[in-house]
Amino acid sequence: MKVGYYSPLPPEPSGIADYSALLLPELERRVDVAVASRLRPRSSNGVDVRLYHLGNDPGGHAWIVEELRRSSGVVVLHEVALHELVAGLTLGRGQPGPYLDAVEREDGPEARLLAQASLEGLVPPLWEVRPLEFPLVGGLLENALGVIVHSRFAERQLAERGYGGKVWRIPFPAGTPGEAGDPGLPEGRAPIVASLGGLTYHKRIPQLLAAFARLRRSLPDALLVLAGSGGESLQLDARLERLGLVRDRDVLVLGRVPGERFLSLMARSDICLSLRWPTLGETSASVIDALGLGRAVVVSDLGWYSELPDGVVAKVPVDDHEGDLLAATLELLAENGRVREGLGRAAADYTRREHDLGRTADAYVQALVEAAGGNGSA
Amino acid sequence: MTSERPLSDDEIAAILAKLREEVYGRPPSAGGSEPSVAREEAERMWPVSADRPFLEGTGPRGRARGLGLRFPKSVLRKLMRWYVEPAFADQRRFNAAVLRLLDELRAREQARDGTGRGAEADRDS
Repeated sequence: MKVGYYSPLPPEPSGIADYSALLLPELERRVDVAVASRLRPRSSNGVDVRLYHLGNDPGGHAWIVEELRRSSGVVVLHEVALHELVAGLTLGRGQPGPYLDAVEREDGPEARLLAQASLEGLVPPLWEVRPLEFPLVGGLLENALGVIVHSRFAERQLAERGYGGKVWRIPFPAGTPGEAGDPGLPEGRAPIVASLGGLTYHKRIPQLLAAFARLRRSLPDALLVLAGSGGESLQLDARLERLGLVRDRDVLVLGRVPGERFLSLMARSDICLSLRWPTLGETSASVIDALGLGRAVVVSDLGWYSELPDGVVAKVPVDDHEGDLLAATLELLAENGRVREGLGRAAADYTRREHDLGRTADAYVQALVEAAGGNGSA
Repeated sequence: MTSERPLSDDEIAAILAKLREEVYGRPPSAGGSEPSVAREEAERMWPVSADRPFLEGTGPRGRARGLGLRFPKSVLRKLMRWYVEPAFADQRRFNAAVLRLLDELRAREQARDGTGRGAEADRDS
């Protein structure tokens, strides 16, 4: 069987590119793969089935959407809500009309009015605060032979949106943890708390900063490491000042770091956080990396994150008690080594058990054969 | 500490569940009803600044235009900073004070209802 493969690829700075870099070699051991690219999108002519990876970055996925509209195939939904992608493909090109039409087609005239209000600045953009209510995914799946998702949550969301095609749930693969290099962090600081992989409001950095400021009162040697792009829009310095935190003394802000340093920072951290609200229905690669490295991980209790077992991660619901529970959880993990180490050990075991790369590749092949009209053998 | 018997997954889950129960047994120390979109937006927008991220359009033309404009935009920002930033700094202080005031009012209201938090929560806000 020959598979046409459409995805961002390294060196594009994208989580989906990293995902494909991990998956492709395993897939190529099992089936013939023709990898399409932005410059040569038709290189996969004459294939049995096409595989399209979709995420919310319009820069990385605009050409894939165009190819999907031209030729049907299996769609890998890395996020269930693709409102931001649709907005990027319309509003990002100065075309509000097609954006509003897309919203109305999927969610009706009231949604169109809301979207119109957001364009006028009267309400926040829908993709920022209500992505799962208005996921704008239906139009993108019109030409899909079936959909691959990574979680039960994503599967349920598609069912609730009335998607009637075939859905395969295939676990997100974990890479093999390598030797961690020197992350270049100051000596003698503990605990090291890290939030890596995007400094955005969605990752609840302001809430994390507030909880960390509380932790620092009892543990003045604690260090918070923030790495990822997007920090400019958070106005971190103003937020740190308001909380009495000092950049470079209490909080290290590193911006986007290369993959190797990312993993070495994670490996050196005592506690890794991946908070989120709202969720787009994604599965977090950085959480799986942290679990695989045996770190104590704290996540928001929603979406896919809620599916992680209770003894493997610490979960914090996004509600009235979020700040208190987050601070209390950080304190518990910082002060109780048995809980922290036990959580890390359980995380590594869980990742080996549930996120095996070979099994993921086998499941892809099975889904692709099925979509191509075969009986499940490549 | 590490020579003690390792905790099982179930024991860890029980410890985390107990912690959650304890925290939920107390009145929350900050924030509004869960999660208030208005509060989320206020928390997001209060630190106003002229330093906004550089955005690019989609497609090769949009990216090329964005990249081409990045340098002149950054120069213009630096040149205008002395003029616009003091006003933004005042606005940030005012916005932060309003959010603190909201939290303090909420704390007072809770104290009056008998569910109050102490002065500690005021410091957190």
